[in-house]
Amino acid sequence: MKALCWEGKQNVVMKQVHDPTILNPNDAIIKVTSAAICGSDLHLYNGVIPTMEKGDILGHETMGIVMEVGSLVKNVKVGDKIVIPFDIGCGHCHHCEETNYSTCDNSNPNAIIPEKLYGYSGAGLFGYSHMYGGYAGGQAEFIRVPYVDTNSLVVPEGIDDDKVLFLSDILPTGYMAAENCNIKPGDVVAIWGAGPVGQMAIKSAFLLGAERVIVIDHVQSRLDLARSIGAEVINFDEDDAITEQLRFLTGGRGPDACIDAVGLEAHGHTVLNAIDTVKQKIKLGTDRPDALRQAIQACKKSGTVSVPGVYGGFLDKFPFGAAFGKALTFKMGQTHTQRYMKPLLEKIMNGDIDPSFVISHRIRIEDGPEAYKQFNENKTDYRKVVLKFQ
Amino acid sequence: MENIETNTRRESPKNSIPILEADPNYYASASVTNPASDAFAFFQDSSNISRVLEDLPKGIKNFLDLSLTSAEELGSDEYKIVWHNSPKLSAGDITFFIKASPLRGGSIISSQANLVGIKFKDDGPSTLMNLFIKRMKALLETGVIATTKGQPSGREEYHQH
Repeated sequence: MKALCWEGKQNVVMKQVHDPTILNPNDAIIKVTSAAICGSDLHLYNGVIPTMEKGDILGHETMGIVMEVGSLVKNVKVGDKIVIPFDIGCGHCHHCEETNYSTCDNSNPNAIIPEKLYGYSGAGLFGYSHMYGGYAGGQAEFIRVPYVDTNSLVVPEGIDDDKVLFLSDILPTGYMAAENCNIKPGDVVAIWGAGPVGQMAIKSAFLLGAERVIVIDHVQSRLDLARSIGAEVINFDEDDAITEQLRFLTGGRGPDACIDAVGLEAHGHTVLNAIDTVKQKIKLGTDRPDALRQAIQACKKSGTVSVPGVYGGFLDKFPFGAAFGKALTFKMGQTHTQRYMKPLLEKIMNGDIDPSFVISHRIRIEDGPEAYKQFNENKTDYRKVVLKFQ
Repeated sequence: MENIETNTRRESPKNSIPILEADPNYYASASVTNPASDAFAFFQDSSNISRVLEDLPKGIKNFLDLSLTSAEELGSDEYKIVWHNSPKLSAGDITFFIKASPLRGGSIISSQANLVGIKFKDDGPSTLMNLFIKRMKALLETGVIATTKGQPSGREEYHQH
């Protein structure tokens, strides 16, 4: 089969590889119909996520048709069209039973690696480094899905892939980020990052009752899209005094909740971000957390900071004194995707939300390597790339 | 006992687990969500232990000399299983005690349910023990052990069939 393989920093290649096979009796083999490139794939592309190995198959936003199931599979059958969550839950451990699937105990065969770093390991993830299990990803013609009874959502016949593909990651991620804000009617939510997750967070914040959403980014086309779905926008290329702007826009109080939908590769014009960038380049630092610093600084007293953006290592100059002094609440983590897939599918079917508005490119897998390059360098035009296999 | 560096608890973990009161050096427990009856059946089947040992890092079988004793008392479905091991047993021995405990908080029931003896014959046992526990827990809870062995990648040479 054809697959997009990580061959090193900023080097993705389409290769011919063997088809996947059933390895455990609760696996299924899926013929991929659509797969997206995620903003978090760019962290892999740029080499800032450790434990990638040359030849790893990328991709964690995938859907397709069930071709084969193992002997223990009960809930899906050959011919079903399913969306596959990016995180892999076993469905049986303490954390999965509490619907905290992204912290599954059993799905990461390399759990001892993150345990050394983090104390405990999260779940295995598709196509997202060996620290997270080394699972082959879904930017390929076929994918093996372990524990498929837990890691699948069967979608109704006839529904367009574009409407449901993002149930695999960015829609639940944006939704959980907004849900974590404990939004009350009348609340103001500020969101750093107007990429696809940020756009989903905007939609979700409004669905959950926010009165106003203010988005901070510097890619004007993304800010324009955010404005088109009801958000107010701040372009930090024009004015990087974000805390002051937000204070002004909220009558001196600050946003009730702040969402960092940027993560470990923040851009910006602050001195701290310049230091982060240098330290990351010379391997003296891991993450560039300037969006998170701003979110903490800008958030109202007793407000909530929600972090769907990916972080991997240690954060320098982290303003924990401000967080403590303002009594902030923090909510974060990889999304428990399976928890949200079905209720969000209902919202899609009801017409409450159509996440396909973020798609900017639909391409063949052969064009995948160039799409990675363009997505990394040209965020004005490349917002969300979907690989089509039919 | 050789070099156990992680998962170790050097001093008494002041708590209500009777067996820990008796011996202050138990550590490295693992919890599963199965009813006790499942766990009982699991440990009666020695092939399960063989499956746990499959694919462990090269040489692990030299570290482990595993024996299984019969289970006498296991709790009801309200209980789940906890392993504890003791570095204070004779040199080279690590023992996993399997005890039943309440699912959420509360006191641990007093009956010792099972005993699995594991001997390490070289250094580095803590990592191996950690792997062993994780695999045992996964097999018990899910019926499989997560693996990526045999999956495709761009590292292997492709041959057209």
